[in-house]
Amino acid sequence: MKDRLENPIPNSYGNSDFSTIFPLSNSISPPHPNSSPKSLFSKIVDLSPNLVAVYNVQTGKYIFINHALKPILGYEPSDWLEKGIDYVLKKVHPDDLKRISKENQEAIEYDKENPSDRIVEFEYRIKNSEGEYKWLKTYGTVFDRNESGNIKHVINISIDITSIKATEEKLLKLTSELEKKVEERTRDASVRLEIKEVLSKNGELKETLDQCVQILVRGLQMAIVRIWTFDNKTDLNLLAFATNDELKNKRISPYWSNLKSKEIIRNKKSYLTNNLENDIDTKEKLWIKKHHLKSFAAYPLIIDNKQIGLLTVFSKNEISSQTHESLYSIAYSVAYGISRLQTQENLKSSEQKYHTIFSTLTEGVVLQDAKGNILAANESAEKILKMNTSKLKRLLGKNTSENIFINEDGTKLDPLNFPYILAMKTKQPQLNKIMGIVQNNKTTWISTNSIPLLDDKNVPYAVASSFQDITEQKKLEKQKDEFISIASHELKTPLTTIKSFNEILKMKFGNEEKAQYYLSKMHSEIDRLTGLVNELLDVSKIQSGGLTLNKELIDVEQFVKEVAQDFKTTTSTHKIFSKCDVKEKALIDRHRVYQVLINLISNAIKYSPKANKIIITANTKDNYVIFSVKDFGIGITKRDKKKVFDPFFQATTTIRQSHSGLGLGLHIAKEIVTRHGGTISVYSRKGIGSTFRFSLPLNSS
Amino acid sequence: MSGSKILVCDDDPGIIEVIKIILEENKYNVQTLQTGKGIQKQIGNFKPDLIFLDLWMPGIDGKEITKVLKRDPETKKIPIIIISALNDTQNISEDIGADGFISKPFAIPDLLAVVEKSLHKNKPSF
Repeated sequence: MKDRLENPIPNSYGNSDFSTIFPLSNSISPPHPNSSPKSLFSKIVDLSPNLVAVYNVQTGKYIFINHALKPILGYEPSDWLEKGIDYVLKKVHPDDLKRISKENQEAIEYDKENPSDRIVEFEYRIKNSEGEYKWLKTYGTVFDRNESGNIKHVINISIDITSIKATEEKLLKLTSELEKKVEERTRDASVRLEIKEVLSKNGELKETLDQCVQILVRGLQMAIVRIWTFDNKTDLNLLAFATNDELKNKRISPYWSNLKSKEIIRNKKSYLTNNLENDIDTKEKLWIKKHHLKSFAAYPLIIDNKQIGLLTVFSKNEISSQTHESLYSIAYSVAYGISRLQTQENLKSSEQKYHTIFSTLTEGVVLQDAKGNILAANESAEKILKMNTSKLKRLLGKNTSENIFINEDGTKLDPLNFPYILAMKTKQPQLNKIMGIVQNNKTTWISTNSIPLLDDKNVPYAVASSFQDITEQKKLEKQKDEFISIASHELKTPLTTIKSFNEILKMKFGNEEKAQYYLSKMHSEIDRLTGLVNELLDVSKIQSGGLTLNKELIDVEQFVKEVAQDFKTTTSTHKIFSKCDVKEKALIDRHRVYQVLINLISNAIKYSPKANKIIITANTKDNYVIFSVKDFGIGITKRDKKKVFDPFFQATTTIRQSHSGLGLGLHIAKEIVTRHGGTISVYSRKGIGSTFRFSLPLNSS
Repeated sequence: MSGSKILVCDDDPGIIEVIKIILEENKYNVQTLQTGKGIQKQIGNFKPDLIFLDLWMPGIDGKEITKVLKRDPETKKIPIIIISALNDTQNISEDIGADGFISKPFAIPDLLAVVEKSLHKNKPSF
């Protein structure tokens, strides 16, 4: 064996006694006479693609390096055999050298204490023959020991892990990229959520948007975030903005982003640039550079397909496509939020407007639901009714000892007849209903209007009532009525005296024609004057609602005959014809109905100077007796017909003669007929004549 | 009924005079009073068969006087006719227990008729 060892195979082996270090297994029989342990070892090892090297720990010289050195690192094995380990170590990457030297040292130290056949691993970069670094993974272990047990040789098997390492790095890079993306996505999602939360609160618009831009600056690490809306079609109005700490209180150039914004608005598309420096014109380059702004993005705010504004952001970092997408969807949320909050603010301001009107009206306004519960009452309502709303809620609709509701005539108002109840029941507005409220022996008079509010199924769901305090008005009316009563009384007193003396004279001068004539004239004038005074008194009574009727059962036929007879004697110009088909008796106020007929017949005579016929008829229909007075005179114009029953109405005609009157006759007639429960009407043709017709119930209910 | 005594009570002198003239023409014995005060005394002295009473005299309530006279056993049998310028005289006079009414201005025949009617009602039957 010794001679084989003395013939080392060049490039592979160093000088050493190989047999001693490589005891052959007894089970393997030598295959070939020429095969030595060395050559066998060499065959095995050279087959391996891995670099196998054995070196002496003391000398640092390699005693064996396999062929794999060439393909792996490009060196000839002989190169390294000559130079030794220090030469090799110089080729190791300085960063790794420190580490593996340390590790090696530690392994050696450890082995001194605990000698064993441990395998240690090293990973490091080493320059190949072309100067490129390759990654190697080296497994090293003790090859042999000297007599004292110290390590003599170490064997290293090294694997080229360059591509593995490259793959690892790529994987790491991808993983970190992925992590970064996930982190970004999480961050974006949390920002989106935060913004959605803020927008869903019912805060004030400006405040809400301020919060949003701050969230975007903070959460997405933006440098500048701005929300714009349109002033008119083209002008942008800055609604909210926020900057990072660095740019706080620094002047921010609006120019570029404004110009670009206008372009973006035209295109209605979102915009992103991560290369801001090269994407802008000269004016703002300085500012961009100064603050190291790298990217800019703009997102139109669109709601219902309408652009209402813009969201713009500047960042010092790149805006990833992920974040760009997030911002795009955030822009939608913001647009929706703006629209919603603006609507709310409009609603609030119009509510405020209505509240202002509601509370400053001098009329009292009360809103009640279908059950009569008070939903709202304004201050004037409280003032007029002398109760605050909570008291009102409790008491309205009930007569209590504190508040008694009365009708105009002073009788207690039946709760079922309260205007709001009638409004609900009949579904019709109850207008100008007068009632009084007695509190502490004082009466407040109000004129109320109650209007039912109907839903689309025509069911009343609420009633709106408004009322005015008319106490003062009523007081004045009362004073006026009292005055008129007194005045008419005062007027009638001398009239009585004159009339009576006139009558006495007529009796005394019965035979003197002239005297009789004069006295008759006086008589009719006195009666006329009396009539006027009575009309005045009547109309005042009507206005204060005080016209009362004394009804009695009248034989209609008899009544009509009397009326016709009375007139036959007084008029010489006209002939009165009467026709009565009524067999029944009617329950009417004789005096008042007589008054109506007198008025109608007088008018008929007055307004038919050229004719000479007046026809009075009476007949029954359903449960009514219908009277009519027909003349063949000048008739009534269409315009006048509408107003003929109005108080103080004077016909627009040249016929005045000496019978002008107060224009109250027909008004009083209408009132008398209405009080009976009947109706009065006129049919007339200009130049042909008129027929006044009125109906009275035979028996009033 | 001629010879009957009539007391006319009204604040207006013109009315009092003309009614007196009318009644005296028709042979009635008339006394007048321009105020409600002292009416009971005068009734005590004059003992009228009929009283004309104006409702509206300043300071005096004709309604009250009617009620008082109707309550007083001495006077309650004397018919009282209310004269008034108010239009709803009929209602009022019925309410207070008067026996008749006549409204101003009146026609002389109507006045005489109501006098006759009231005096005849009161005629004692024997």
